[in-house]
Amino acid sequence: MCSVGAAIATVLISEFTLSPLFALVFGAIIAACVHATFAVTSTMGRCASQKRFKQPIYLDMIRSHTPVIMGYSFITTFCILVVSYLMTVVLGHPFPLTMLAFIWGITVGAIGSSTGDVHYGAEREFQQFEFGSGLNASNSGNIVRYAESGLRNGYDNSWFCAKFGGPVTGIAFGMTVFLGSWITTVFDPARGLAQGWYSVIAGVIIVLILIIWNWKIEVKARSDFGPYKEDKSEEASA
Amino acid sequence: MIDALTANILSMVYIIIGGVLISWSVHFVPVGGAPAAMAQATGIGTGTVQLAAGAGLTGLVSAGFMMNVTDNLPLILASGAVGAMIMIAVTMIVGTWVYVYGVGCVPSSAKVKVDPITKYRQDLYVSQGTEGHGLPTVSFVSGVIGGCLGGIGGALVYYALIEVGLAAGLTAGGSSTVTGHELVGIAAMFAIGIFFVNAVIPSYNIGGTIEGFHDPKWKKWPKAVISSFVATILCAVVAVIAISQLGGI
Repeated sequence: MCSVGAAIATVLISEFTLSPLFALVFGAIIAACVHATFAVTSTMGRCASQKRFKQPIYLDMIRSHTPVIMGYSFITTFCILVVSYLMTVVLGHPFPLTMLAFIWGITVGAIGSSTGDVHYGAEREFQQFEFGSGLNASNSGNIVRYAESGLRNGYDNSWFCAKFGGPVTGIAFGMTVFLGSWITTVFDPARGLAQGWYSVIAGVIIVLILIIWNWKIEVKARSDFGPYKEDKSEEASA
Repeated sequence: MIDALTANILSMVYIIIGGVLISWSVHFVPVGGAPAAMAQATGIGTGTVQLAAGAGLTGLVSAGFMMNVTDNLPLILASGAVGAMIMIAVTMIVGTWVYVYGVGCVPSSAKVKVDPITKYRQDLYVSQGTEGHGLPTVSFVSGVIGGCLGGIGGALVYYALIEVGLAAGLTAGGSSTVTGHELVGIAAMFAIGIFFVNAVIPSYNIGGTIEGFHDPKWKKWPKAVISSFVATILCAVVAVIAISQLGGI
């Protein structure tokens, strides 16, 4: 999706010499439209192709969710395009805009899928269990179905994720971009080979700090939450 | 066409070594797939290819930036490794925040009884019915090693392809336009393609979840590495011919 936006922005900037800001916004809008096409066709296609199950297609759901999906898509694509544009033009990165947008799109997908997902997948759905007690696999059949008002729906999970899952995804992506380019900005390899090696050493030190931090969190979690308490009643029933 | 291959035999060797390194690196990355996204398996909750590609491509960005200003091969490889290590370490530390502060489960592994690095007991902390959750220290270190190898592999492939292009008379380097130089674009494209090929092959070995180098599945790596070796030879032939002919046209 980011590549779609970046390709359109690249064409607008290099062939039609439009202002970069307009080109990036326009590219992001087109990418949002493509995203909406995917969203609608996949929702309709799943039900329509499995017609024998006679599942209804909720048109009101498509009407209400598609603009939200497009909105999220626009924001994400635009931000990644701006990052890629700044890296290409201001920081002088050799990769073309489309390539950088593609790479950052893959990276933000990996980060979002590995951090944001977990939050609503594991936390939001099991709120009736005591925090820190671990997650029994059999809890999967016993999720929270009611929201603060009415039944759970997609908006409700989005609202919840916007409070912790979204920000941590953003922090993770921001840290990746920032730490990745910070080390070569402070120790600029253009000033000599030694500076380049300093940037490598700085990166290794950052990684070591993160390893130790993870270990500290692990130790803290072990002491705070304690060993997993076995569910006696369930063992009896099994 | 044959001349192009024989003239760039060293670059092809670099590409093949890079591909094999990428394939090996994927085995180190602790991915848990969909179960980990529900905190029911140890590792990061996303797909193998997605995560390995995310880390390796971030390394490629760093290596590309470094290659813009120097042509010292060890430095380019090191910066690629550091870029990938930073990306994967940041993803894992943020994953740990979510698992510990968001979900409330102790990082633990169900595949081993004690963590080989910290010597902590693991089996007491695993929730019933799950295969562990979160990222214990051994998985974290393993992921960093995986990022390092993947970054080196990606950077090696990119370096070799740029060298092929430079030998064919194309230009590389920063251009401060949005399109960049054509050699950089096509070399990065081929590097990404070779990266994906070699990230997909080991995922059959991993079968969805792996915890790191302490996992029993990790011992299956020679199969994937041999497959990648064969696949990368084909990729390298295509890439080298395409790029070297680009200069001649």
